[in-house]
Amino acid sequence: MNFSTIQTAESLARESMRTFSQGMAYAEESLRNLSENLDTDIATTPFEVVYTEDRIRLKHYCPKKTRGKGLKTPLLIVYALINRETMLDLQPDKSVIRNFLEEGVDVYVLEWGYPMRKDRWLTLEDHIEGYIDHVVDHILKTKRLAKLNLMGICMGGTMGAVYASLHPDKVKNLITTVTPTWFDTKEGLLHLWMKETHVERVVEACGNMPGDVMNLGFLMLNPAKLVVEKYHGLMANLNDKDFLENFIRMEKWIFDSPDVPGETFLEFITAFYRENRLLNGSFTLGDKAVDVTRITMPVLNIYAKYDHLVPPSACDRFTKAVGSADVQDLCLDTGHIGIYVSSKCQRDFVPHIAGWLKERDGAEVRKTKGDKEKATAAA
Amino acid sequence: MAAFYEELFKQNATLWNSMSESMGSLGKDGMTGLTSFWRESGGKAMERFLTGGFPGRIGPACFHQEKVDGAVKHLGALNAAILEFTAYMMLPVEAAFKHAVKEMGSANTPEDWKAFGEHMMRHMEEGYQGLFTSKGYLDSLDMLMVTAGEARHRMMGVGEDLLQASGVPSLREMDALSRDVYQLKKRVGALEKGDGVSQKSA
Repeated sequence: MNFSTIQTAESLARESMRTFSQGMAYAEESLRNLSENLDTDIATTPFEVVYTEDRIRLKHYCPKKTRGKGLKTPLLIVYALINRETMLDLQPDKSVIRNFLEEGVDVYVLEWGYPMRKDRWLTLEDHIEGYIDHVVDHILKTKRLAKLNLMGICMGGTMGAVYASLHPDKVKNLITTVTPTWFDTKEGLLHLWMKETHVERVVEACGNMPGDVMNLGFLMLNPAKLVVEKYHGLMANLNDKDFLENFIRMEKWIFDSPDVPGETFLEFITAFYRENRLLNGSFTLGDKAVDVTRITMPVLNIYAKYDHLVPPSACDRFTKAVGSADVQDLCLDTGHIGIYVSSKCQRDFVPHIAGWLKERDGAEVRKTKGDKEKATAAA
Repeated sequence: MAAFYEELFKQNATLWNSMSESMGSLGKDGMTGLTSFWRESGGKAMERFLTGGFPGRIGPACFHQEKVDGAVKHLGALNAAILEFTAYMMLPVEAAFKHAVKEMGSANTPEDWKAFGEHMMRHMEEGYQGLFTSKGYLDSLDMLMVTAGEARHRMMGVGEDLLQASGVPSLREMDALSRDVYQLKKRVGALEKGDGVSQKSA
């Protein structure tokens, strides 16, 4: 055995020892994290329930005393019927709700609750002209106001747009975030799957659209990332307490999926995903025709560039179709959920909305596209 | 008898081998149409086996027996749909593994295993994105939904008979009842609204 062979064996032994000690340190830290009480609570911002009806609750978050001027008009947030609104308050440093409160916004959030089998008959009309309208009336009556600001999230934005076109007199400003309004797009697997499959068979058999089935569907959108890579990432970061806590919070939110009332789900899929009725003016809610040109209040439409559920092509036509001339589109460099929870968007998303609302919080001047055209012609 | 089983296992092995081989190549799979095969021929053959060759069930519980037969048949169809769907879902995994074996076999053993793992993950992800828009996959997904819905519906039908016999309301009855309550609530709401309007105008 010569000297160089001994040297190689020695360096190999050192390398093995180093890897072994690193592994032991990782295992020790991981076990310590797993045996500790982790802080994984979500939706911890205090609120007051100010209205209840059937399964729904209206949560009111009081604004903090801010140095700047707060908003006079309250903001009602309507979340989608899929998953829960707790995503807006995932953790104290990643909370859309807290950010709004710090900006001096009086926030109301509509919580849809957990539909039961008996709720399978509830239609879109029951949700929009029933629940949403009732909570809007409650807020307006309590605050002695004529109008409020309405913000819709995903499917909640679509319902908000329908509501705003039916009740333009009650909505001062409309904000739609990652809201599908144009469904005739080939981008986004959800659009394709809803058109190509008989999803109604599942609803017919189960009464409602089961939240677990939808969760499975969302995982299937990108199994490599959402089933394999995500949990591999967890195993590699078990020694990082912050990572672990954030991961569990997100898991709690993702798999907390209420069922969607059967009739509402079928109506949404048929009228929108399959027949694309919203922006082409052929959608009726109950016996009322929904005409988006009646949306004459200012509109802020925010969507995400890398959204695999609601691609930009499903969102960016909305502002062109509405009647208001005061419209703004904002495309953020993130995904469907990242818009609310990513660290980068925490800095941009809420401050932009709050600033936009503050500019329009005073006396109302509505400019329609017709007025703008007339002014251009006169000039 | 032993010869029969030997032949059966041989045939089975040949079938599975050809299916496994086809799973490795995206788009050229032998799984397409498995559910339609089941529904068209396999289901029929199975039905004959289950009914013992009788044209239909007989006796006082014949309708219930027919319901059970129907449920079993649709569970079989669901089983075939799950098998087909799972095979589709395995295609990108299989393709990614084949790709990995090929890369490693080319003597370019990666130095950075983490990067290699990420590369394989991207490969799998691309495979899934291609698969998810293919007609075969969409048909299979559709068949899974249709058969799952039908099987659940049939199973509930079997359960309903038992509940009815023991005097317990079934889901169907509860659904009808909740529909009545829902419609009544709507009518009461409309009446209250109308009453409010008439009171205001008075």
